[in-house]
This record gives sequence, C-alpha cells and structure tokens, in this order.
Amino acid sequence: MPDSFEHIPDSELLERYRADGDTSWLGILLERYTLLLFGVCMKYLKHEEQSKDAVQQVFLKALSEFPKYPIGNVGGWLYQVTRNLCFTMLKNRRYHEGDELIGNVVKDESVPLADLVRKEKEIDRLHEALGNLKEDQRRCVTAFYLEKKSYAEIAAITGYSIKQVKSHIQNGKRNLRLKLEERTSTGDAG
Amino acid sequence: MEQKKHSDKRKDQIDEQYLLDYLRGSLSPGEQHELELMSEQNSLLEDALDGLSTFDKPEHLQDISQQLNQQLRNHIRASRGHRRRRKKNLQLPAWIYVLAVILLLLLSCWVLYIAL
Repeated sequence: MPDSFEHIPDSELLERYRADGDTSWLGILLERYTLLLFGVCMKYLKHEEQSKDAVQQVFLKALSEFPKYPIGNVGGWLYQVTRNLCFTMLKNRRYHEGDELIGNVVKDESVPLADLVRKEKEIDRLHEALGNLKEDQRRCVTAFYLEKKSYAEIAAITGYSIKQVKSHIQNGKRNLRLKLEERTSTGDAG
Repeated sequence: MEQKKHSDKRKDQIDEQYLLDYLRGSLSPGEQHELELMSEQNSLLEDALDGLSTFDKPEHLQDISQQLNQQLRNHIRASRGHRRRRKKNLQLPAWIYVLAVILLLLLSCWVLYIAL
C-alpha cells in the first residue's frame, strides 16, 4: 500500500469512492485488512489455501456491498462477514471436530473486562476477587492487566507456554468478570 | 525511531508491518503488551493474532498478504476495464444528438404552426 494513503481514515476512503466511483479507493481500504482477515480465517479454518480463498471471497463481497450501503465500521463489518463465511465453510466441510471449531465462532460479546476494570472504583474488591481465582489464572491476569506484562514476558516468568498464558488470561478474566458482576449485583441488592 | 513511527500509525489503524514485527518478536515488551491489550478489546485483532501465531515464519505471511493484495488489484483493474468498455459501448455517435436536436426544433415549429 502506498505510504501516501496511510494517513487517510477508512471513512474518508469510502467517501472518496462515493464521490468519484473509483474502486481503487476500495482497494486501498481493503488492503489494510488483508493480513488481519487472513489471520481470522486461519484461526477458524486452519487451512492456508482455504483461508486465502475465504479472504478473496470477503473482498469480492465487500466490493459489491460497499457501494450499496453506508458502512460505519469497516473493520467490524469485514470481521462479521469473515466469521460468517468461515462458519459456513466449516459447516460445508462437515468437519467432524466441528462442534469445537464452530463453538469458537460464538464469542463472548459482553462488556470487555478492561472497561469493567476501569470502571471498578473499589480496588479492594478487585483484589479480593483476584484472590479467589485459581493460582495460575491469578498470576497471569495480574501480570497482564496490572503489571502490564506481555504474553512472552509472563511465559518467561511463570514457565507456562504462550498458549497456556493466553488460556489462563481468558479463563481468569471470565471468572473475574463473573465474580465482579456477582459482587456488583449483590452490592446493588444490598 | 522506526518503532515510534509504528506506534504513531497504530493509533489510527492496525498496521500490517506492526503486526509482523509483533509476530517476529521484534517489538519491545511494552509495545507487545499494548498490542495484546488492544486485542483484548478488538475481536478482529484477537482472532487474527490467534490465527497468524500459528505460522513460524512471518516472512511467509508477508508473501501471502502480497499475493492476496495482487489478486485484489487485478480484480479491480479488470472490473474497471470492463466497466469502461461497457460505458464506451453505450456512447452514441455525435451526429445522433445533432439529429435529435434538429428533429425537436422541427417538431416545435410544427406545433407552433398548428397552434397559430
């Protein structure tokens, strides 16, 4: 992608396309997401060639849909289309391990933990909730959110693999969210 | 200096080179954490990192990205050429327009003549 276009926001590229009908603007816009979309496809399809095909299909859909409808959040739109396509491809593939893979497609859409943590004024309650987590989850969540360590650093400190670190953070933040929400609702009721 | 440049870009968009640097492990721990924290709140980035992390060589990813981009450019170029040809085919010769104007003028004169 030429450097000269990098400063232009997605919304402005769409506006330029609508103004002069030149599909090159859409091309510049879509190229920003190539690697991200390929990564999403690889996560679900776990197959390089099928992932490449899927990205191409998403691009073709975007080129045909962008001119028709106003798109507010280009990344969000592309992500939804890509996930839906992967979901369909997985179903068509009649994947025997499909239950697990398709299960991955359904994501937790609740409030991000970072927001919840930011809003959480009573630090004592957070620490108390952290203390109730399993040891491995507590170590990883504390290192990531409070000590601002990267996955690699946490892996080096704890001896876990990066995959285990991510898994502990995912499980830990889910449990932490539940505990915080539980305490908030108990507090509200009281 | 180069990494500062990436950080500046990342505020507006998730830069491909920055992602590749992350996957290569060439970002500072602070920058790695920042991107990982961002992925916690951005499902597209989170899923993408999960999928891209399965590759051992980020250079291969760069090749794939370039290949996909080239296919996209080829498609756009082909569709633009097709549209231009269709537009050209729809264009009528100039004398048709001249004839149409003359016929309209004659018709107007005839209507006026009948009315008077």
